[in-house]
Amino acid sequence: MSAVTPGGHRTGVALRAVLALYPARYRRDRGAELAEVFADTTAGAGRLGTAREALDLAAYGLRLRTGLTSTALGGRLLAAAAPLLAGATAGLVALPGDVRFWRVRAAARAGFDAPWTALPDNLALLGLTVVPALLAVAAAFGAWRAVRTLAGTVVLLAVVRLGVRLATANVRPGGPWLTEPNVWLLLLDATALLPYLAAGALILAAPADLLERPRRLPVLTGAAAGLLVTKAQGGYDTWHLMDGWTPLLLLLAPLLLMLCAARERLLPAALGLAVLPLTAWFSLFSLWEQVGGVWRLAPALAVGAGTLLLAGRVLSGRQEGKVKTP
Amino acid sequence: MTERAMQEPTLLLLTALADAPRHGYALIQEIDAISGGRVKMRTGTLYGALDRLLQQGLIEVAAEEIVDGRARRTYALTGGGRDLLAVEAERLRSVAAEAQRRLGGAPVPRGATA
Repeated sequence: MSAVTPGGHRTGVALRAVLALYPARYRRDRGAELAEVFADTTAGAGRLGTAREALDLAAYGLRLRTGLTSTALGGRLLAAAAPLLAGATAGLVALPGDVRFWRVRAAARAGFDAPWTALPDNLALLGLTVVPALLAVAAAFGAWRAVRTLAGTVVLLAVVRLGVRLATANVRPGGPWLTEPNVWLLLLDATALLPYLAAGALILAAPADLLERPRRLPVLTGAAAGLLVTKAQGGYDTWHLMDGWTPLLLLLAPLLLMLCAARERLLPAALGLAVLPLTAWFSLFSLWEQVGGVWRLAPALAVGAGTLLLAGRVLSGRQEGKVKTP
Repeated sequence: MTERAMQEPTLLLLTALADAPRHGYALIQEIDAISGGRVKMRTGTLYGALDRLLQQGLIEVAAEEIVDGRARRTYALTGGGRDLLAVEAERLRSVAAEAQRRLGGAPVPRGATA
């Protein structure tokens, strides 16, 4: 680590923190080399330049740690899912007849005349109506730099709306507003916003070097799937929650599709990955409602997760066996 | 591999290794020079690309040494990487030639491409 000295003590601390993000084996193999190159590139670069370099180095460490590099299965799956996710996010759009549609219309009509307390939420709501559509168009034309910026914007807008919901719900532990109806409403609102947050984050996590071509058909497929599941779920914020097997089906079907990745069938797995962020939250919420609480839902979730894990291992085991056979 | 155009960072990286094996920081400098200062590859991005190209068999580690107490690994093109770069260079050359022909055959002055 002698290379750290040119950047000074602070750079050395930052570099050690960044390298800690790398898997131990990679760090042992390449740590000194990375430190050397980092020291050379940041020599005289200034704080901003050093911070950018450190962020880039940290991002690759996180990719390696999470298996999201462009050569890893997770990274390739995310890259295959990115155009579908872009379309699916646009498929979340509120249609006439949907409760959200009236909210969007009211926010658009109020414009900047809305009370200042309502303005951030209104603007974020309008943003989440327009930006996903732009995101899908950008993905369809292969403008992936724009897609990433727009995905970041979607995540930001969803965070703003979630923050506003959390602040206005006022459900502090021990506070007077921590009542079951308030928590229920907060969770219901969250199920409508988490799809944006999750889909945007997954698009951002896709390896940039695998996103290169215009992907019109996957974007259209994703949009159709997004519209379909949103409709099946009643537009996320309907007062008539899903009953029966629908929530379970909308949760398990994408998960089962994702298992195809274990056999290197990335297309169906990508479709599952694109749909899951849209269905998971509302399905879990509906199941929680039906079953009657988190603790009653937990055993079913544990059994489901175990079964999926086992199925995934069996499938990947078979695939490995197949590859080894000459 | 040759079905679609190579991404620019990959092209620059392979080009930087075409005449001689190079270590990490030298590659960053070469890419900066080849792209006329337009592409400044960061360390994490560089090693992401190097790992991918190593896995694809387009480059290899030519040497691992300690120079002035500093760890240094040198990378070189493999035969496959050289062939792929040659195919891509030919593709770019034919596109550029066609562009020049359609512009009236007058060669574009150096440095007037921006």
